[in-house]
Amino acid sequence: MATVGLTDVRKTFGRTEVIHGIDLEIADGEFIVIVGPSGCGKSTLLRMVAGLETVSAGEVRIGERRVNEVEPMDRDIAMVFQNYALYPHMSVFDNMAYGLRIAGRPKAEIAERVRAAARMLQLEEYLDRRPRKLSGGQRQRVAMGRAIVRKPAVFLFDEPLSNLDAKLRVQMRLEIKALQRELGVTALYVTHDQVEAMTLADRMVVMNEGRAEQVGAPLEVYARPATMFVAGFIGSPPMNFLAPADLNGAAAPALLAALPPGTAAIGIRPEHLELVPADRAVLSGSARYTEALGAETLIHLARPAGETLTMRIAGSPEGIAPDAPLHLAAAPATIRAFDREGRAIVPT
Amino acid sequence: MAGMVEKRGLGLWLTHLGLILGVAVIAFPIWLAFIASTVSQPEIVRPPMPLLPGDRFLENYRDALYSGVNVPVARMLFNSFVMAMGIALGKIAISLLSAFAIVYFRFPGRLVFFWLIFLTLMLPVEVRIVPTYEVAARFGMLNSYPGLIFPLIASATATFLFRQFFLTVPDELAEAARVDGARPMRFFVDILLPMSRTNIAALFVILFIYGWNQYLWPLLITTEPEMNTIVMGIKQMFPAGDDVADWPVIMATSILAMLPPVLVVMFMQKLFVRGLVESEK
Repeated sequence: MATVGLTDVRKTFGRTEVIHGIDLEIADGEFIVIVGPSGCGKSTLLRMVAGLETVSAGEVRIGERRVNEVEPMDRDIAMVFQNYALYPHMSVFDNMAYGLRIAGRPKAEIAERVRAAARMLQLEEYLDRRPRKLSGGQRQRVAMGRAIVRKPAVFLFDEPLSNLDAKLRVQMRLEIKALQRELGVTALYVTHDQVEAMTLADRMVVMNEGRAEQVGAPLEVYARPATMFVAGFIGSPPMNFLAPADLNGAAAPALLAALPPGTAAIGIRPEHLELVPADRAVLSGSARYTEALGAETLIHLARPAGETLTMRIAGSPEGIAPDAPLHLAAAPATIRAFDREGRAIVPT
Repeated sequence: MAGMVEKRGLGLWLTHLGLILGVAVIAFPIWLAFIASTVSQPEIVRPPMPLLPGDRFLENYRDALYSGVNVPVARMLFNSFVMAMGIALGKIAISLLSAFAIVYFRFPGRLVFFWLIFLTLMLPVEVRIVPTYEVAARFGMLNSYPGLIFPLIASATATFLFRQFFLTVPDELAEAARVDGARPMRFFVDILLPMSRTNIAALFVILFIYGWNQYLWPLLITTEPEMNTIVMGIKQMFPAGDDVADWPVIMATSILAMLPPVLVVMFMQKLFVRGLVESEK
């Protein structure tokens, strides 16, 4: 159990700086998810915490101790890799026991700890098998078990679910969350999947091109994205972005007047758009195609200028004819305003 | 349909006929050698040569094994065995370690060393035999096992094979081991070595036969009959001048010389094929 602190952490490869100074304080027992598109530096950041990459500048602390120069094994961490990285020639038991064996633990203690972890992960009947004979989900569990038996202060996950099929991913996601709660261990979890980030995180870090664009609780980040990048990255389908000039409905002038000064773009989440009579509309468009998902329907609209909008309505798309003109509005409170640099303008 | 089956049947027969002929052509000299090792000297030199085994099998092989021509064949077999094992194991040990160094460590001159190793591929034993002999002689390694083994151990081929294999091992495995607390040599012994075992087996077969079949180098480095290896020893059995060749014993020696490689291949065939075909994940 430990806190983790990053102070102005930077990473350069040769002359290229790929992480441009990250500050983050993680509380004991907190579940932090680092999310971002591929190449944003999220894995590099995690690997610096693990000690697999050197820290070019700044400081990494685990439990108040500076660990920049400490070997991974001495950092009191455990890591779960994307491809599990199980030792193919060792049984499940040996895979989980390897770290403890190196640490020179007594045999009885090793066996007991491995069995306890196996029980927790429902792996008891597979202890003698080789990883090759296991399914993807079971391998994933073994990788988790290997991390658990070490009783680390910090769990590090590097996209652990991305090799699993969709159904298993949902199941393992819940298991990881439950496990972390149960063990009360600090966790740092890297993913490119925003659903994982939303569901797992106590707080999430949205990264883009080596910078932390926003750090916050998932719903906070969703409701009040700090930048256009975050707004577009978190949420599926993504937020609609429009220039103020694009608002052309009957009610548009009133809305425009209410926007904070300096607004260069506005963002509206698909679920905040609603169908209204023409005299209350701020926007119009025609339904290009609809995706009925059962509980909800996504309507993709074409706008006169050619750009598209997505709106999400509950239920099925009855009464919406293809290419029929639709009039839309959104509650002013749900509309996000962004300045020229893409930063959110917070109404003062 | 029936016609097709018949046609395929005929093709099958023809294929097998071809194969049988091929085998017969290749096996016939070996058969002759075996026949010659079971008859007496006068029977061999009197044409036509017999094509069926004679009755002196036990006597000829006993003569060969225990007395031979210059030195007992048992002694030469032992020498060859030591040399082949030494070369195979030595090459494997050295190339495993050098491949490990080249793949997993970043040290100054890594590329230079890599290319140096690569260069030795272009310098087979025969090309560097004179300087190698000079060096071995000055080290006092003439007529000794180290002299037979060491100069042939350095191996670029095996280093390459292991390098290629190590490159296919996911980096995460090394990192996982690092997080688990394994130091580099521990990772090498606990994880890399067991994962390479099929490759090692395949290489062992190839290198054992390579070592066993060495001819030129033992011919140079050994002058005492006691240190002869069997492959060159056969040549040493040939008579000089007017001496009469003891062909049954020579042929028995030839057959004996073939046996160990055959046995190694037979017993390690399964691992050997797996090592060449399968890339274990």
